[in-house]
Amino acid sequence: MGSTITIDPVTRIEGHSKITIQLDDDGRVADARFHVTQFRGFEKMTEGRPFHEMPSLTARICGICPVSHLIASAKTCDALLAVTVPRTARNLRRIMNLAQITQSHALSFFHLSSPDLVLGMDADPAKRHLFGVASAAPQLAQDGIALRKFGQQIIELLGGKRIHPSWIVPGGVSHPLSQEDRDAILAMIPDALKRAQRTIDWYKGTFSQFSDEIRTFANFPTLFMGMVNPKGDLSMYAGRIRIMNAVGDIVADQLEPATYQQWLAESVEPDSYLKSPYYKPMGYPEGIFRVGPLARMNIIDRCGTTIADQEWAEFRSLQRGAVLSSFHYHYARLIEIIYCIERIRNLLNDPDILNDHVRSFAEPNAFEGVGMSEAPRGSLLHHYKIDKNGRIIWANMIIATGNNNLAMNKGVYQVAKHFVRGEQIQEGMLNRVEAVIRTFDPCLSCSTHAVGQMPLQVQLLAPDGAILDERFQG
Amino acid sequence: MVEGMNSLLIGYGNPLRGDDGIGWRVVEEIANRQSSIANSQRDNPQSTPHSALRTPQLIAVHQLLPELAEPISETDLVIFVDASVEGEPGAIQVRTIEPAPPRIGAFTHHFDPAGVLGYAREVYGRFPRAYLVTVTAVSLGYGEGLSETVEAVLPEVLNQIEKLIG
Repeated sequence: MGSTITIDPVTRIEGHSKITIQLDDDGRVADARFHVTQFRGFEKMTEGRPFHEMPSLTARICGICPVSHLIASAKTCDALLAVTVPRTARNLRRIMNLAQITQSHALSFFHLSSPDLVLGMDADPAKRHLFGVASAAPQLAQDGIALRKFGQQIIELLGGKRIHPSWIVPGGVSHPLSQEDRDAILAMIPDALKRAQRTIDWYKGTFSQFSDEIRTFANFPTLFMGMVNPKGDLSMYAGRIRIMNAVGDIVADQLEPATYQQWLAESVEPDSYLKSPYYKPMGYPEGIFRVGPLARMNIIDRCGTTIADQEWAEFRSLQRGAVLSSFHYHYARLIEIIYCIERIRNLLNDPDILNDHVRSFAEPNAFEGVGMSEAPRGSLLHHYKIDKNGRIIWANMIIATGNNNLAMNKGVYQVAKHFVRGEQIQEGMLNRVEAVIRTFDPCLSCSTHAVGQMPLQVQLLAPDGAILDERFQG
Repeated sequence: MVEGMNSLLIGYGNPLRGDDGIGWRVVEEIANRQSSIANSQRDNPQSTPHSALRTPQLIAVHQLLPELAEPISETDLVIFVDASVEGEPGAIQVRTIEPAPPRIGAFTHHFDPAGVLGYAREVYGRFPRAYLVTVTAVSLGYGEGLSETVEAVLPEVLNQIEKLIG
């Protein structure tokens, strides 16, 4: 008789989910599924609201990455207004987005994943947490706190508050950057860069210990998707979409985000509130793709900043073609932190950044708009339709975490096949099944637009559906 | 409070969930008082403000995160303010907090007050005297603003905090 393992809730991620592992009659893993069990339906709630409220409304989807939604939403509203956002405002939005990515990546790497990386996947769970990291690697713990603070302080200086700032508005930003704040941010750069470089140096000396995890953590061919600028550089704020396959060939390039319905489709699974986007020309599920730091590091021709480009070149030498193991999301995340810090410095050193022309004003000039940006976890898209009074009549949001849904499911299956043995949930197995999800840094609150934090449930099921073993965490 | 000592007040909770916003509201009230005191001193440099509430550094957050360990480690006194579901609605409780190790299996990127205090001790080797001030909520449903009951005890909450800073 076969059986099923359920992991519920999954811990150290954002949101609420569970994992079920189905065993066959011989006790081997027959299937594994990642279910997102929270529902919010934010798109429906926005119907009837004035379009200009959307940036601040959709920012409430998430307390971790509100800035990402602010930016995608404001860009969608820019399209409704059909205005050109002033150059200075575009660069100020870029800085806030880069600060957001820095603080979110720091949360993922230092606060959520470092216990596994510093203490090991099989470490005693009573010690495998932030306190254990602080004890074993105090400098790393302090660097994590400092990099989070770096990003948050920039958001606060620009937006007036670190969570849910309302500074980014349709047409630009609400007020210019003062010289005092510019100088305050520039003064923080050297320390942040030093900490980020120290961390990546540590990581590069460490990850070879995880060869089993590198080999089995969602390590398979998929497409990779992300935004690039016209030169093929990494672009977090504006650009067009590039899609690359596993051997490193560009499948599609310079796709206009507004045409996404031509090349992107979403499937709905009966056991999860998280939709599964796929690349439409290849169909479902062959059109599986990954987004986020790993995908971005794969698709680009270069980062475009000095130190990040050096690190990126080393990263790309890991594998011919695309780097396939999702374990390397961690590595990619650290390169992106360095990129963000360098890029913020470069943008602030442009004298035009203090220009006080930071907003364009207009009434709606279009009934439909699409906005896209790169969020910490990948490509984020908002799409609104409004009536003649400027009220939302339809909204669609394709969230970064959702874009990775198919890959996360396949990754859970791969890890379960490799590590799950017998009809009981062992700690090392439990942690690895969770850890593969953690590499993607999913934000389930965002991706289902849902309320709440994320505990995890894991269930081990027999072929007839009977629960053989079950763990709850959170 | 001894002159020259630093204090920190951290209000936490979700201000979009009714009385769970008490921490944010306390921070807002004290910030307003600090602003009034600063204005009064500017207009009359000879005036000596008596309120202890003029001193604490203020932070309002949705949840207690690891990075709070840094400012906590740098202060002499920290006061956490939160809503509670225990006791009679509107009841005020003041408790001393000692640093604690994390609960096994705890979701590890946010803490309770004892946990963040413990994390400050672990990472920076220092932690201050700490109190948790709670007010029992009437409603934690969706919506901004406090219930009448919790709103009514706000002056007493501020009095209690003022005494702690003393």
